[in-house]
Amino acid sequence: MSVILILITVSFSVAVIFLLAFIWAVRNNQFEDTYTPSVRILADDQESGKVNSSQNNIK
Amino acid sequence: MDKKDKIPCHHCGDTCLDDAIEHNDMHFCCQGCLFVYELLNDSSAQNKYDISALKALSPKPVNKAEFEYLDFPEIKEKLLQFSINGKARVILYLPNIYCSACIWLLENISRMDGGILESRVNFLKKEISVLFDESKTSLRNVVELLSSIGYRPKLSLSDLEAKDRKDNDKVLITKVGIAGFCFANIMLFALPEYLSNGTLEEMFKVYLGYLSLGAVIPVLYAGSDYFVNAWNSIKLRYISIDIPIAIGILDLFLRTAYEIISGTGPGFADSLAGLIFFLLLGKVFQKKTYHTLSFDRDFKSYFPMTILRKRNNKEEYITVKDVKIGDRLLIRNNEIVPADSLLISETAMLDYSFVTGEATPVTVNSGEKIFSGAKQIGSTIELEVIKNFQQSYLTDLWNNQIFDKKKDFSISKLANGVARYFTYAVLVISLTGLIYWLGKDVRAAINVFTAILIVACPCALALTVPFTYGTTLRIFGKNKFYLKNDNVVEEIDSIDTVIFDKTGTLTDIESSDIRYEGEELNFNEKQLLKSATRNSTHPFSKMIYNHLQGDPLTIDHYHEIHGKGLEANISGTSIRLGSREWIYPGNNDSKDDSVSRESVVYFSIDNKKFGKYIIKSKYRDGIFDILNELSNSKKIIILSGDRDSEREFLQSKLKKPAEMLFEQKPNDKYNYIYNKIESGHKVMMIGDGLNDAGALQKSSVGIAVTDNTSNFSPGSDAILNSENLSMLPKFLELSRKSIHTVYISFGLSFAYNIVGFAFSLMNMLSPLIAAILMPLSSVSVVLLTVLKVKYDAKKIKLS
Repeated sequence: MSVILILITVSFSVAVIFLLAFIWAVRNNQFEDTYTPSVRILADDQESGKVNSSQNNIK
Repeated sequence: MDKKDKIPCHHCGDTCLDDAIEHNDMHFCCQGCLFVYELLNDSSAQNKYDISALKALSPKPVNKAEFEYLDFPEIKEKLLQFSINGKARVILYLPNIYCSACIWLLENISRMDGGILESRVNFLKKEISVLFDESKTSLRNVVELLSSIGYRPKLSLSDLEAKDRKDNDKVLITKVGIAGFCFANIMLFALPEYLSNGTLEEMFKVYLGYLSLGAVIPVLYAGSDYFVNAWNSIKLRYISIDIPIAIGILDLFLRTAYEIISGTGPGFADSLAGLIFFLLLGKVFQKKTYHTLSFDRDFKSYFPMTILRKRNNKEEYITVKDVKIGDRLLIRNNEIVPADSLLISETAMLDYSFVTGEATPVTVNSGEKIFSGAKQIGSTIELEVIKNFQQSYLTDLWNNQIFDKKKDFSISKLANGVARYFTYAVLVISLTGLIYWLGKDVRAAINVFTAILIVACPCALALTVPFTYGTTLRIFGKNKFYLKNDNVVEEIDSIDTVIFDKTGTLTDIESSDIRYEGEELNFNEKQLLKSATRNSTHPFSKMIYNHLQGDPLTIDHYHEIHGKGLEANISGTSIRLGSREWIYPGNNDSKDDSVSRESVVYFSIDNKKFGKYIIKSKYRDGIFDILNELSNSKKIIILSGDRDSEREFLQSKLKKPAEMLFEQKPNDKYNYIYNKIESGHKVMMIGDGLNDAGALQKSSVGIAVTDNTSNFSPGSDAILNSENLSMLPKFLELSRKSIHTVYISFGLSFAYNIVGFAFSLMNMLSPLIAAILMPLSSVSVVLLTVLKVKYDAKKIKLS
């Protein structure tokens, strides 16, 4: 029955990892703009190579 | 509302606002749509956005020197997000972003300038983030490019503040996340204890207890704001609402730590975590609510001032919010310069009393800068706008101490007074509860102590007034009634006497009749008269100006004399227009050649008299209905600078006999109001701001009625556009209802606090519930006041 204590510890640790992921996402401006990406995908993609590569340059 | 508002954009279908772009008889809501439309039209074979064709479109030319300052390294440093190894990023606010076509256009500007590497739009914030190569292009080029395609960025060094605000939001969200996470987990850890009826094994109790205690530490970090604020306010020797909250949190934590470490109980970990979580959640909710309530995208309540703009040799009237950089404006005598400009005319005589308080006029020469708020004295000047119109600046000037009137009683003062004693009262009550319960049950005592500290909410006191009056002001603004500040609403409600000026206020200049009697005038003489009257904003001058044909000449010298008339000098010829006594001095024959309901303007050219203009004033539609409606509850008085000829007509139109005084010089009006106020009345003066400046200043509420002028009297408390003068009774009623709303909200907040204290003292309120109630109460109070004001307005048909 005392194994439950180990289980609680492990699952709590996993949950904490998700919390850290949340904090990172907020810091990294992931939640900054919730509207424009939905519109952006509607535009035609003429120059595929350029758009994808320059995405990585933006912080 | 203008008809233009209802026109749908030809491309995207959204409704175009006032600044719609016209092209070949079609309307577009923004530059993006226009460009896209042109693209699709030009390359009719393809039915998709052809980016390569962007290069072919010729953008609007931009004044080259305007953005020169962006080349300076100090400025660049302030505006750029970063600049590393030749790559730089800047975030610009583009107020003209309007629809999805804008997004597409702006995210493809890299096609227009090879140095731009990437651009990304945040539609809701109207921001564009541009990454560019500094070796190929520059910040200045980026800004100029954006301006040339119609998306001029709004640059200000206060953009730095926006960065801080964004960081604050991020921190708050993070804290809410942490608090929520810990709260949920602590609740789970508490389940075994609650569900086991006390038969839980010691091992679990200890382990879960320490786990909960550990999880509470991050929550304390999340609630750190309260500690920081409380500490700061103690340092300033000032009791703020954060102090009780901080004490509550601290005492819960200490009690929890004690109980878990000594093994005497489960502690209050779940209540503590829940408390902080809900408080923070309340903060987020409050921020969003307040932000939504105070941010209005269709904010049309600008100064109802109109200004004369010269475009392609055509003169047109525009509202002051449409003033753009580069516009050529014509400012007449007594009109206010709305935005920083350069003087084009040779010289100008400016009265900066509105800005600096100094009434001594300043002479400015061609090419020199004129600051917004200056009042022109003398002949009409032409100037070119170099800075955008900033309404907030003029409003700040207006609210300057110099023009402030003494107010005896104000609800806001009452609210501030109560708020100060409130926190003391809360501390006293909570200590009382603590001491009382300590004798009976220690656990309950902590509960009671904390609950009282948390449930108390004086927020309503601080928030009611700004939100209620703010909403009222906004509704007024939409109806072209622009108030100086919140306090005016209270003053309006206390009025018992309403004084109307006649000419220009009760009468409508646009529709009055004018005819000329006397010797025939030749072309030259007519031209002289037209040139002279062009510079005056007096209703009679404007009528004479419109009546004569021909092009006006520029004049050498011009001045107006209150109560008498105007005098102008053109190439040595002197022209005078004005009252009988002035033009025909000493001519006191009793033959009164003025007929009832007519006003006469005499004139002379080089002292030679020709004849007179007879103006038959037309009263505004429905004005007598308004006077009659008002006379039910207020005393109506009419003061006029005109002759007595209209007295009988006016009396016949009014239900109740009203006091009327004629031939009032500006001084007479001032003295009359002064006497009324001294005898205890509260006076509202409605005039056209021209001759009534002193009277408007002296009255309890001075309303300046504007037409096609930017006559601005800083002594006035409100500006009302003449076309909405008929809504005056409705404005009075909404003011009265708003004050009721404030009192109701105070009462509700008071009741809430009393009930909260009662339940807490009886130990029927857990700190957790208290934490939910506290932000709920402040948000509900705010929503209530705003919704009630809007509802009242709708019922009166104002909204």
